[in-house]
Amino acid sequence: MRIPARSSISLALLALGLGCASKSSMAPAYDGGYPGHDPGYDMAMEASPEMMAPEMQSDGPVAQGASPSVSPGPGAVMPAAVMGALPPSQPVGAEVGTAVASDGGGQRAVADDMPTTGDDSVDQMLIFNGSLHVAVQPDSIPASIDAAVDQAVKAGGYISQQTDTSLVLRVPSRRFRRLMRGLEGLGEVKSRSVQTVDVSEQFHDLKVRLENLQATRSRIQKLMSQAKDLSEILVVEKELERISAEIDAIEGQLRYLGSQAAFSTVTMNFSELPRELVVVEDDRKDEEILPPPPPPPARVLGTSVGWIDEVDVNHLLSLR
Amino acid sequence: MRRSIPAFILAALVLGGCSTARLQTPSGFATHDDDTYDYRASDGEGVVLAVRTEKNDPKGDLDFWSSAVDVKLRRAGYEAKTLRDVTSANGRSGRQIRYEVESGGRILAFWVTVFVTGRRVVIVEAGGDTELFEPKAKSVEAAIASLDVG
Repeated sequence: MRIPARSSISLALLALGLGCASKSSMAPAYDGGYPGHDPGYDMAMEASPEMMAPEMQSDGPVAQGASPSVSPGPGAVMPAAVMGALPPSQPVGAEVGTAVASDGGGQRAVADDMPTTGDDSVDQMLIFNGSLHVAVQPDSIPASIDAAVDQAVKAGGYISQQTDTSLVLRVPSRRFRRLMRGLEGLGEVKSRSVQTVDVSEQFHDLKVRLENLQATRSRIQKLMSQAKDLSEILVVEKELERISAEIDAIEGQLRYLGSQAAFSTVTMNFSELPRELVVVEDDRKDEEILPPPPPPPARVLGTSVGWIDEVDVNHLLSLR
Repeated sequence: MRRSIPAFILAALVLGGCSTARLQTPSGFATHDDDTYDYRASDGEGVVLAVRTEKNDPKGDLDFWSSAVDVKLRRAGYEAKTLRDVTSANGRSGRQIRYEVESGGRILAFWVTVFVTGRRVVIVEAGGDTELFEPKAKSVEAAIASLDVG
């Protein structure tokens, strides 16, 4: 039986759609396209926000081929070695090991004595949100805010928001713990909290969808080259346009999650400690320090003689 | 005429017995008529020296009257600096207490000297701005020593 050309294109598109669905259902079997498995990926942790943006554009070569493998740019996700090991309930200050980053193809130890996560972490996408309330000496809130900003900048971070008594900092996630520790040293810590949101599954699903859509787009592009008339071309182009829009949307979500994971957020609130009275220690005995209380005035009787009241220097000096 | 002589003598004796105490006016001072004081003199800068004579009633001795005056002045904020025994020109013992008191942002010196006779209490007061009084302290002392309290 000969199948008309137009019908064959439609059938092919239908088959591609079914293929996408079936591949999506295989997500749990995904073999680990996470950046932590990509030798060149961990450099992302050294990247600044400015570096992240262009490299997050993962179109082009990534989308080519029947079996595309997405290789997100720096900052798109947290490397497993950096981000994976800190469970939400774990204290920030706990020692969890040394962060490892790779430079090109080989791994190197990062000179960070206070990593955020440990070596044995599994592939995870974690978003850290820290909150810190610090009480500082009276009249020193502006200086304390400056010191906090300095610490964040030295850690590769930046100010996200600032008021007279609060600060929102964004800092590379692998320096999150060290920065928190440094910020705690600015004053008396009144409260502290760290929330970790695991977006690994969401990221994973998005990546699988992206790969499937990119594979579908490749096939459609091949079908397009086989189209014989204008109507077929229009049908294929419409489908291609829909898939491309969906790819763009997923890539945007991946970029957002990646930036959230690459840079942690620290919200700081400052307040002033109450002014303290200065107590001077003195080795002298109490009786040497404190004079004895003055005796109460003696009870004396005045005279009823009127002229005594006139004995007075002001009375004397006044001319009449 | 014969009756008028004894009356004159009697009047002279009575008036003499009640005569006000007088002292030698220091150089640079001028006397003033005053209803309160028996004697009052001041210099051009406002240092004043005055004598009042009061009835010894209730009848008290030198300790009584000097204490009574001292209590009144201390209650009024006077600060006693020195206490000394003095003698009048006619040999009567007296007591002199020298005070300082703040008034109008200035420190004033105020000397009170008390003499007591059988019927009278003689009070000599001297005072002025400390800055102006100190240079004349010797003259004031000499004037008080010249007092004849009778």
